[in-house]
Amino acid sequence: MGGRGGLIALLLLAGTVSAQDLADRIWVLRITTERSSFGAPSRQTLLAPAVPVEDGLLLAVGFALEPTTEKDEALRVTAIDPSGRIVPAELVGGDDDLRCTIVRLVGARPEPVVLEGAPRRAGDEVVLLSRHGEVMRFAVRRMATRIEAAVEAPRALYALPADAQSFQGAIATTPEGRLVGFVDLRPTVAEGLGIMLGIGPQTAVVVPAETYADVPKALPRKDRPRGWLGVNLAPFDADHEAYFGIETPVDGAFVTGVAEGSPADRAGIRLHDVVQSIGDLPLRFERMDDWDPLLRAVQRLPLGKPLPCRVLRFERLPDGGYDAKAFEVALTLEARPLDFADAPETEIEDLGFRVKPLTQDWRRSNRVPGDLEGVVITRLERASAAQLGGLEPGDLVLKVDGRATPDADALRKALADARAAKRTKIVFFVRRGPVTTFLTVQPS
Amino acid sequence: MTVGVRGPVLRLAPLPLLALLLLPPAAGAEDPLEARVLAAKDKVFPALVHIVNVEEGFALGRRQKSVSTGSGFLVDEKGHIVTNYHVAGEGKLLVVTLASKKEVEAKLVAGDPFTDLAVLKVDPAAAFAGGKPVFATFGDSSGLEEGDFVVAMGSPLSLSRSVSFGIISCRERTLDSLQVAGHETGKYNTWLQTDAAINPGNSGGPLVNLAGEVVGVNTRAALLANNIGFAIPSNVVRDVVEALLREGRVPRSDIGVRLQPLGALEHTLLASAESGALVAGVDFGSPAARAGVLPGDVILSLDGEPFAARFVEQLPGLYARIARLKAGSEARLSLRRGTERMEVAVVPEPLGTGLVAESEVAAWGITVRAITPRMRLEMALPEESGVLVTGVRAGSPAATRLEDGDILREIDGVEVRGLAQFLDVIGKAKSPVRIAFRRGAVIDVTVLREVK
Repeated sequence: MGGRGGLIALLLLAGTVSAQDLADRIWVLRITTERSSFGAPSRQTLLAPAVPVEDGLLLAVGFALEPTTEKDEALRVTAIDPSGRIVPAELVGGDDDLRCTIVRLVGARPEPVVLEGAPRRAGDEVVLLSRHGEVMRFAVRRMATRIEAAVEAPRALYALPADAQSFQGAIATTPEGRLVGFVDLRPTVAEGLGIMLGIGPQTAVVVPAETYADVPKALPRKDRPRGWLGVNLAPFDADHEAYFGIETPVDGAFVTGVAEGSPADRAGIRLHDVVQSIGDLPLRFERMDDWDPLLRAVQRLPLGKPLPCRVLRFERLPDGGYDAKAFEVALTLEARPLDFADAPETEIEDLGFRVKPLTQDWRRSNRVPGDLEGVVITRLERASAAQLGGLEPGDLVLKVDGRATPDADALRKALADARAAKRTKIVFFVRRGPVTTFLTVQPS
Repeated sequence: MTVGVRGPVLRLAPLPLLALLLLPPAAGAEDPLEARVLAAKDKVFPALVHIVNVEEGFALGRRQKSVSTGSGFLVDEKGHIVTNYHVAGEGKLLVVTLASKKEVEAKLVAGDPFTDLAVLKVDPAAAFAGGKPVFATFGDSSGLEEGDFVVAMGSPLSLSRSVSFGIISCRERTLDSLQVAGHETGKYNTWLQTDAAINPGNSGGPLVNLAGEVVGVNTRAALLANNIGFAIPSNVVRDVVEALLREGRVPRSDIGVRLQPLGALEHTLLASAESGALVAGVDFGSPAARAGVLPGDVILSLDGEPFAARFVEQLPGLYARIARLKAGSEARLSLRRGTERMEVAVVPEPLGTGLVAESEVAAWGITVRAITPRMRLEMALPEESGVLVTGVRAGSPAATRLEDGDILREIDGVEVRGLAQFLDVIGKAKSPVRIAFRRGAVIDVTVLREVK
C-alpha cells in the first residue's frame, strides 16, 4: 500500500510537538459489550479516543452506539482520563449519520474542547492523537472527496497518506495544538478482504470538527424529536428541468412521494411538486451530495408551528408541455414517527419470540396494505414453541386464536386468554411476504 | 405431517462437460428381473429423443441467446414429443436427435408452465423414415406404489440415451413451489419420487414401469442429494398433453383462494371434527374476495361435492378441481366460519398468467416485461398498469437513470397501459423522451436521450 512520494511529507515520531497540549486532554473510552445470543455469551471491548465537550460529555468518532434495550445484552462504558485514571461513565447515545457517540462522565466535568476545526490545505501538517497515546505527524495529501469519508461533512475534508489508516477515530490537530477534526474512514463492504488484496481504503480522511458541533446538544436523541415532512425528495436536477421543459434552473427539492396524512400531505404538497423553501430555509437539492446537510437542516426546523413553504407546481398543458405555478402553503412539521429500528421490542417469554409494532417504515418497505394491523416478529429463540410452530422472523402476526393483534398488548392479552382456556394449540394468522397463512403453536 | 422436500430443488438444466470413467463391461446374466428391465427399455427406448434448444433470454438489459439440452419422447405417430416446459417451452430453435441418431428440427406446439410440460412436433416422415412409427404409451400413475421398479431414460449431463434403474421412492410428494417462466409449478400436481438416477439433462425424459409404459416425466432432482429425483405423474401428463394438442393450452379457472390442510389445525378453534379445507388467504379483487370468502373460513364442499384436505398432499387435487370449474359460471361453496355455516356463490375467472413476453428497447438499453394482474398481486404493486424494467445495459442511455424493477408509468405524458401500447408509444417518441417511473415508494421522472 503506501502512497507515492511528492505530496507525502515526512512521517516522524513527534515527541516534542506542541500538539502535546491537546494530547494532554484526550480521554479514552473503554466500551464493553456483553451479549448472550440464545445462550452463548460473547464479549467485545472497544477502545476509542474521545474529547471532552460541554457539560461533562465526551465525544468519540467512528462509531455510533445506542444504549441497549436488549434483555440479553449489556453495555458497559468506562472513561480513562488523560492521566490514566478510570472515571465511571454512561452511554448517552450515538448518531448513525455522523458515526459518533456521546458518553456522559459521572462526577467529572473536564474543560470542553471547542468543536471548531482549523482549516487545512494540501501540504499542511496535522498531528494525529490515537487512543493508545500515539502521536503521529502527517501532511495533508490533498483535499478529499466526500466519497472517501464515512460521513457527509458540510466542509472540506482532508486526505492523509495511507499510513494514517490505523488511526481510525483519532483526533487531528495542528502542530500548534489546535483541533482540526477526527479521522473517519469509509468502511467498505469487504474491508478485510480489500485490505488483504491491497485494494482496501487507500486514504485516511479527516472530517472537520465542526461537523459534530450540534451532536452534544442533539443527544440524547429522544429528548429532541426531529422534524418530519412525510415526503420522499429527489434532487431537482438537469433531467428534471428537461422533463418539465424549464430553461432557467430552479432551486428546490423534487417530491417523489407523499405519505398519506403526513404534514406535507395536510399542507397540500403533492407528488412532483418542487419544494423551494420551508420557513427561512431554502431547499437546495441538486446532487445527492446535498442530501445530508439538507436533511439535517430540515430536521432542525421548529415543530408544531406553521411555516410558510414555497412550492412550485407543474401543470400539464394540452400541447404536452408544462406550466409552472409558484405558491405558498403553510406547513407544520411534526416529530418523525418512530421507525422500526427504534421501536420497542416486546418479549413473549413462554413461547420464545419477540415482536415490534408495525411501524410506518416497515409497512412501506414490506408493502403491507393500509388496512392490515399487526405486530412483527423480530426474533425467535432456537427450538422455542414459536419456532417449532413455524413462525419466522419478519412474520406479521395479524390474529391469535381469531382475535386481532394490532399491538403487543393485544397479543399478550390474546395469548393470556388462550392459556387461561388451557388450549393445547394456539392458532397464529400471519402474513409472510405477500401471502397469509395459519400456524399452530403448542405452548409447552 | 408429510412435507415437501425442503431446501434447494434443482431444475434439471444440462451441463455440457463430464469426465468419463471407463469400466469393464459386466458379465451378462440371464435373470428374470434383467429380462423385464430390458423388455421395458426396448419398448420406450426407440421413442426417446435428445433435445437441443436455442433459447432467447434477456439479461443485463439486452437480448441474449443460450443453448440448453434436455430429453423427450415421441407419443404418437404424428411426431408429437413430450418434454418439460423448462427444456423447450420458450425455445426458438429446437433440434431433436432421434433413436436413429438422425437430427431433425422440431417445432414447439404448446406448453404449460404450471405443470412444466411442453409438446413439440417433428415431421413424422423424417422421424419415422418410412418405417413403422415408434412411440411411447402412457401407463396409469395412480396404480404406482413405493417399491415399484422404474427405469429413467434421457440425456443426463447431455449424455444422450442413458438409462438408469430404480424404484418409486414416494408416489405422492409435494414440493415447495418453484418458478418456471414466472409460474409456480406443481400447484396442480403431486410428484413421483424415484431413486433411479436423474441428473441435469434428464429433464423431459420418460420414467418407465416394467410394463414398458411411461408413468412419469423426469423433471427435478434434489440438490446435493443422492438419487432423489422427481417426475410428473403420467396421469397429469396425459391430461395436459391432450389439452395442449386439443386447444393449445390447458384451460384453468381460478377463484383466488390459497388453501391449507386442516390436519395441523385439529383441536384448534379453526378445525372441528368435520373435514374441509382451510382458506389461508384470499387474493385481493379475486372471485372469492368478491363473494365474501375470508381467510379462516373452512370450505366444506364445492358444488355439493365434499372438499377436504387433511394433509398437504391433498391440496393439488383441490386446486385442480377449482381449475376445472367453468369460468364465468357460478360455483357453490359451502363454508364454515367459526360456528356458522354458510353458502356462497363464486364466479370463477380464467387463471391469470404471469407468462408475458419480454422485450428489448435497444436504443435505451433496457429490457421490459408487461405487468400482469398475477404479478401485481405477487409484487403487491399499487399500479394498475405500466411496464416493468427487467434489465439495464451498462453504459446505455438508461444506465444511470433506470434500474431493474422500476415500473415505467408515463412516456411523454402518455400513461403506459401495456407492453404493446408502450412499444407503440416509444416507437413514435422523439429523443429526449420524458419518463415517469416508480421505484419502490418513489415516483420520479427522468429524461432519456437516445444514442444514435
